[in-house]
Amino acid sequence: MKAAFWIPFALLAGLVLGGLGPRQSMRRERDELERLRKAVRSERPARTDFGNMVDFLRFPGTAGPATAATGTVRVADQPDASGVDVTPVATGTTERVRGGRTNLNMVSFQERIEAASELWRIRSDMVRSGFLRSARLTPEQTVQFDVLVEAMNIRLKDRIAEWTEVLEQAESVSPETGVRMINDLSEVLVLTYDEMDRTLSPEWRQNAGTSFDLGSLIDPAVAMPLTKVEPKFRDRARMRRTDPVWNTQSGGAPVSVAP
Amino acid sequence: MMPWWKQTWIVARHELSDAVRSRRAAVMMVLYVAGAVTSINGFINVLQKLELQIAQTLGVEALSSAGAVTDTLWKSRPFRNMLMSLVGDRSVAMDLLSIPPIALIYGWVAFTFVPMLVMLVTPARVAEEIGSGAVRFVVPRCTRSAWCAGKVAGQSALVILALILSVAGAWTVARLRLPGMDGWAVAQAMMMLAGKTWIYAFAFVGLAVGIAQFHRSPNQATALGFIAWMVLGIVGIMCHFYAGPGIRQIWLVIELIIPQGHRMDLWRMDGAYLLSGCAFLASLGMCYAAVGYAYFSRRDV
Repeated sequence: MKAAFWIPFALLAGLVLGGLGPRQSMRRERDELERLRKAVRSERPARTDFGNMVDFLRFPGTAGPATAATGTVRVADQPDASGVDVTPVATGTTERVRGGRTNLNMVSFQERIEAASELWRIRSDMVRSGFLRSARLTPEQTVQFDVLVEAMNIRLKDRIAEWTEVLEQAESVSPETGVRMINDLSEVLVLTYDEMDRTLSPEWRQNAGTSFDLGSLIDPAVAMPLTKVEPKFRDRARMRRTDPVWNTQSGGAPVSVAP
Repeated sequence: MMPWWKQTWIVARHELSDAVRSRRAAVMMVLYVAGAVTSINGFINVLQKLELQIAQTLGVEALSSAGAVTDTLWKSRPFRNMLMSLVGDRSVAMDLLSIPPIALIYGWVAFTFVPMLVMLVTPARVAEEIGSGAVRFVVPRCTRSAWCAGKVAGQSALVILALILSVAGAWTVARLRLPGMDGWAVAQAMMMLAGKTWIYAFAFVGLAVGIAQFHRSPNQATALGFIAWMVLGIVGIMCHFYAGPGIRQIWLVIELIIPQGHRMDLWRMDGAYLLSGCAFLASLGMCYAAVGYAYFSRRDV
């Protein structure tokens, strides 16, 4: 029985001796990981600064190659593939865009959309949770609702892709195009509302309340096709900030703003 | 004479029934359960205000009941990234994120305050018996080691009782305040965390019984137990900051022989960490009690 007294101590000694080595190496690895994380974090601002510099160098009208932070991405100031006048729908201004985009910038814009999409997903999840609670849908209706929202986002993505092609190919786009684009996209929402009326319980609208908005459930990722025309938007926006002449058409007429 | 384990069982049974009836233990238990329930209630209040603010900021409709926004945030990548950078360990953060937030708060309260409850109740119970001379009527009928082991077992059973009551109270409050809560999942998570807390508290029960065997005065034993709890907490923090290569490895050894050094292992879901943590804490509890027993076994009672 007296030997039993030493059992816990023997067990503890074994555990301590056995655990010391792995713990020490784990701590070392963790410190190393932390050091690397800090190193990566400290590099980030430099890359961002460089990205800003590249953006600055890509100002329309400037020339000359630039090298990205990695040393592999180059800015080629060459004519656009189409080489035509393009009117971004955002302002209706007509501008000639010269110069290709860097992969760096394109990825950056896509990342921004992805980040917005991620944040929007949180928001739309909240709206969805709130809607499901207040509308008191059955499990089948919940699935139906999710399918409708998914279908709405797919339709919107298709329409935006179509409009992007139009914007890329159009020589000039009038304010009417912007209005038609809004009309086209809002039709998708109206269709989804109608589908909800058809498939969900009759009292869903009353239960959900007047503040329910399908627009909150639109995934920003549907705007991804716009990455193709985004550079023109940004360059033009920069020109608008720096040169008031860009705010007028060639004839000097005021420019209307379309979405 | 009865076998050792039977003697231990009888002492443990009597210890539990006496402890439940003792005023001090009852008050402490009620205080702990009330504290756990109040903490959960306070957390839900904060949650509601937070969700209202988030809903306003994001421009979405505010819900009358809390939980939906938090659940969504809990699953979101930005929040997960934030927690990972806070915890500093991706795998620990992922383990924590797999637990419902309300259960996590319960777990935090239990892990923080159950050791304190143990250190306030247990030393007094054991020292009182030695001081009053009651132990003199027990030791002729059983061995001193069985008495000591029975005290540890009885006090551990008391902790189980406190944990079960606190889980019931906390879950009920959460159920009433959060209608959208997944009750079964939260109950499971709370029970799992209560079990882990019990293992963690076992080391403190051993420590409390070990300390109490040196004293005759319940107040002295309680004070020393409380001081030991605080000192261990401070040492645990020091180990975390000072452990390193060379001579600083001594802090790593110290970290291994105090309960706080294995606390994070119990938060993990990985069986390897859990098993290691449980083995350490069980052996620590037994060692602490055995140190006290080494003195008590030769003591003139």
